[in-house]
Amino acid sequence: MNRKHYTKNFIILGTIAFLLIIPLLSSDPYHLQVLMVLLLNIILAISLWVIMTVGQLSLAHAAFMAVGAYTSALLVMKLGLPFWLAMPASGIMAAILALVIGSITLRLKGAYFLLVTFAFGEIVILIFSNFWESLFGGVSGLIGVPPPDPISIPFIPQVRFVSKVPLYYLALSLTLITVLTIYRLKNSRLGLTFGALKEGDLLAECIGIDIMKYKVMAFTVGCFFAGIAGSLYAHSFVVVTPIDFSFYHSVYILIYVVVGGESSFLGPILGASVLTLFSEILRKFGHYESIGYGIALILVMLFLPSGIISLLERIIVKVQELFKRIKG
Amino acid sequence: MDMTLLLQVTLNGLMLGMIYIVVALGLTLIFSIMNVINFAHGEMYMLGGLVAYYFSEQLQIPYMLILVLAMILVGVFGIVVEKFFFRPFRGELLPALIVSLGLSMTIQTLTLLNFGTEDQSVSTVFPGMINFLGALFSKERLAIVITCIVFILSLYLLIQRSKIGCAIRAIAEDREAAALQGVNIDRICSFTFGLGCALAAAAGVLIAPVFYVNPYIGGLPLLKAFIIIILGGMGSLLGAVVGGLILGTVESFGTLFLSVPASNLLGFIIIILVLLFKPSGLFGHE
Repeated sequence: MNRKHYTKNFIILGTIAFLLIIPLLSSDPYHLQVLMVLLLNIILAISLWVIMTVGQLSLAHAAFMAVGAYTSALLVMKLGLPFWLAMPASGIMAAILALVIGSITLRLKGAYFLLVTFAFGEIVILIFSNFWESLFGGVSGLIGVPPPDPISIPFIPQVRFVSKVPLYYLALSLTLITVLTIYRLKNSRLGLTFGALKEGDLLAECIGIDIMKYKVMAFTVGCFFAGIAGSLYAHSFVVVTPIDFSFYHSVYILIYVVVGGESSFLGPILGASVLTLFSEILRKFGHYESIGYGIALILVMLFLPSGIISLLERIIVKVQELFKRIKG
Repeated sequence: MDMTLLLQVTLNGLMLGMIYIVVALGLTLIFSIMNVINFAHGEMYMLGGLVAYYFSEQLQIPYMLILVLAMILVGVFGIVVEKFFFRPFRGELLPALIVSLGLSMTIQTLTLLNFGTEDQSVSTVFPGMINFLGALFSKERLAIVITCIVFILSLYLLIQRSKIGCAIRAIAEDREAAALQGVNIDRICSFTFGLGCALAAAAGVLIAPVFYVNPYIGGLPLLKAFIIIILGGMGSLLGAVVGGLILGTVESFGTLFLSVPASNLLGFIIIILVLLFKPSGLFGHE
């Protein structure tokens, strides 16, 4: 194991340890709330990134999250199912929908696919806000989504989701599971095939890869996690309204990935974290928030076209050079 | 069903369709030569409406002059924006998309800080109604339809007959080949971007007296313009016109017979259907 690997593992474990002890450092519900939003955004960004590894841009990610949120909330509220069954069900629901939509639309590329997903996202929100109001609750959505049911885990007392702290740990565990799963996927044979599709459809097809199959697969996996994020959102924040999953939310998720750096696995995670905190800090300034955010987007794209992660990589290289010089 | 009501609905649909077409033409023109999906396009429409409000309510300049002034002002603004923000990413879909979103946010909020969020109305220039086969139609709306048709035809002539139009078509066809033939890509791109923005501003000026003006009005026409260019085929001018007429008709009749949400849904379903059978849109080519 070389030194670089060592430092990397150290940083990752340090970050996870830090995230684990945060509730001990601050019990301010506001801080935990911001962190939960941040974790949700990480799940969304990294799952959208999976879709982007096959070279497709989706503007329907928030819509798949909405499908997950409504599925989970309705299963619990109308059918009385426990959260622990409703959550995977919501992921599966989003995945099935993605399978159907993806098989139809993934023939399209670039701007065309982007705009079709945009249209699909609008349809989903339109249906949730205007149709079957007795079920979906119309524009005001579903109010009073119950928190997850208490759960018994061996060796620790029963966990009851009455405060923000257990909800935070739930979000953290789900985020870690998602990130780890996608990391394993990326390094698997399947992940390599996805990457090959991004490099060139035609080339991949020539060496015998069924591009449609793999694109649908990536789309389905990405939307599965968006559905899970939706379920987590619904049960953590009590209220589900259609406007939360509008086209703009999808745009934000895309921005996290691109500003973070889409070429690297850590990019989306970094982008979601930095931008969530950034917009939280800007919130104090009222309307100037959007200006600051807008200008930041433009500046990052102009000066760091491969995302914030490239800045980080550059700094790491500089530091390593510095160390070498000191040694030499 | 009452015939006059049908006629009235058709005429109203035609007016909205025309406005959306003018917005969509600018968007599709920019996409066809720069491969940029410009999310700040709705802001250009909004700025047009704003210019109309300032010039007509505060300075009382004649309306046709305002139309020309707004197109020049927003057109020049578009040229500046293209030079500084889009030129580095020409042909790259994703970074240009993010930049246009950043621009949209910044322009919208800057406007909001100077203008406030209140709806402002712009007084009409063509008061009165005319009776067309029993249906009442305001002169203003008729003037809008006619002006839009003039714009569409002039744009068609510009693209098909003029030298600069020829250069635009050449770049849309093949950028490298056009450059090899001596087409100045930078200049044509900045002209086209300015032209696209000016068209959006013109639509904003024209419709301002019918609706109202506030910093958020750009969102809806942008959405409609997207639907139109997907429907008609991205980068196709004819497609934008046909797409706009289809959307305007479907929406106004959908609203009459069904409901507003149902008619919106209908628009999106048509898109999905068209794309299933012809992925490049009605008039697009791969």
